[in-house]
Amino acid sequence: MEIRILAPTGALGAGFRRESLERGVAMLPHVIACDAGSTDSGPYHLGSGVPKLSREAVTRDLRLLLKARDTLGVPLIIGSCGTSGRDAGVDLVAGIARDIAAQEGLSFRLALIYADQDPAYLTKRYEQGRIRPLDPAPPIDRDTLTDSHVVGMMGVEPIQQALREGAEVVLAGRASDTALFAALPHVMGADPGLTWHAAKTIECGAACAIPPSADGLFVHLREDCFDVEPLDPAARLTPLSVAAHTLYENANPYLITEPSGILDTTDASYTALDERRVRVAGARYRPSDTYTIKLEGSRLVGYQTIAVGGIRDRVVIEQLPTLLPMAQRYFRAKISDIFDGRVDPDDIDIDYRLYGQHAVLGPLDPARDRTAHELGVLITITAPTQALARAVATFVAHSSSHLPIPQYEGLASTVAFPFSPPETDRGPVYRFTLNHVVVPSTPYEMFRTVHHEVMP
Amino acid sequence: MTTLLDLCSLIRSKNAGPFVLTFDFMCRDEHSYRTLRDSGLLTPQLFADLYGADPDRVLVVHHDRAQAVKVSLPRPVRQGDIHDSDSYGGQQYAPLVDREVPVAPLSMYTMLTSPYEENADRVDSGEVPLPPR
Repeated sequence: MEIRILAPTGALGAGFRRESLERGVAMLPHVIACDAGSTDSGPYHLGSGVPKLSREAVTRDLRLLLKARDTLGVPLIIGSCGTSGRDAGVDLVAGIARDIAAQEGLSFRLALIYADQDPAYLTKRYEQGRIRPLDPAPPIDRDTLTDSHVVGMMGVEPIQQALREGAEVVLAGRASDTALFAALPHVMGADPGLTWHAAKTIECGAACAIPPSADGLFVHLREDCFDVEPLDPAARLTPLSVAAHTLYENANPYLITEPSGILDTTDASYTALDERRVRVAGARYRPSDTYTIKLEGSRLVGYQTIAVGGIRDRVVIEQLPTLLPMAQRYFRAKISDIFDGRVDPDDIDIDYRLYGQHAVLGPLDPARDRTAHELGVLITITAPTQALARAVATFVAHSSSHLPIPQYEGLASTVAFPFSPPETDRGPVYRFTLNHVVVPSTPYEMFRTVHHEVMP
Repeated sequence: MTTLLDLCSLIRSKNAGPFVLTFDFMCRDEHSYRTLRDSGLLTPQLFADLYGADPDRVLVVHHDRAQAVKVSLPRPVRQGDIHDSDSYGGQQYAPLVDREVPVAPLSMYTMLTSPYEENADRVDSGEVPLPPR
């Protein structure tokens, strides 16, 4: 038995070499799979539904993958469409796929698997005690589930069902990255420990290659091991680089949790086949007693306006520790005054970040006592509406550039603003709200699949 | 004086999801890895002191095959929240780069015993010396 898996790149739209994909196609994979999303880009994409990568970049990659799939006649599986895996992201990528099909004369059976979660369903599961926190989870209540935009992270099962029902192209909403690569080999009878480990190894494409790149990997999966190689002949894998990939963006490199169980790589072995290829064996999959689906939620926090400036005068820099708290008190009074009590100062967050003076590590910075000779100042105002954020930002920026310096008489000028106007609206801002799982009755009930025939 | 940067070919901090901060200390070679692992520098308490975490919630994993030490802890602020300064968690490792790695008092012993247990084949082939027993 040999099952071959082609992972063209770490993220749809991140790119890959055409020649690499051609090399992978020549090795006749049984499936092409690719992730398209992540929470790593922050809460904005899930909250707003706006993807991180451009339509042009996604179209470029998807066109090549759809043509490769057509040549081979094998399934193409793409997960977490549109970065967040929201329904809107699935529809966006489906629209691009249809455009490509029309332009290239392609036809295929398309399955769309939606992962947005209905607040009524979540509320019911919450009341049943079937929403459980993962460590570390923020506190939640019923409102958290209805105020947030929530997606569930699907496992292999809905993808396998779509394939059984005849899908040739699967565009999934939020999905476990590994599930995309594991779905078909499971159906074909591969060992689950090896399958999940192979899936974990290739889900970021050639990120674990030397040098790391936006390009692809190829897996030959057998009964007792899998071999993995980079598709770019100039790149190579080593036992160390493959073993080290279990560390990436993962809390525990030995235990990787999936909806149906845990991949345990404790006893995995990594052996060089030659200078570019690595043979992996020994990982185990331990099915869990309870099937769980991870939830991701993002909620609107407010709207932001920012102003960026710089301070060069050491006299001003030395005064900042007393001037900034004083300015904050002044702003609170000014908000009450300007808006005549209609705006609560507690609803508006005014944040100064001093780059050059523990802006990144904050009060935990071991070098916090070092004096800077030049500081970057980022002023961020967060308010319930964009208009309010901007209105407050205008007087905050103005006042910040005229802080009263005790050593100076008259109106001092204390901040260099590079832009006119100094204020820039950032739009809506969001907050991640959930690190929880649901215990569903079946692996399918939280996801909805729709089949389409796509014709040129 | 040996620092973490001397022993590591990559020191990295990242998010492991929006609520967990994770650190990878990828060592230059096997000797560097054993030196770091056996030094006792990377403890839950060190990360508790640096990042304000509860030491009981700091996970330290020694990954022999990857020649790496991994440390994970609850994020001090959830990712992308309005006072988060590092949305990708990408610069949180910075205070550790020049941290001095102490010499473990039992380093000779532990260096020699561990490979015997973990790499019996290599011991048999004479590539790794046998421990004094």
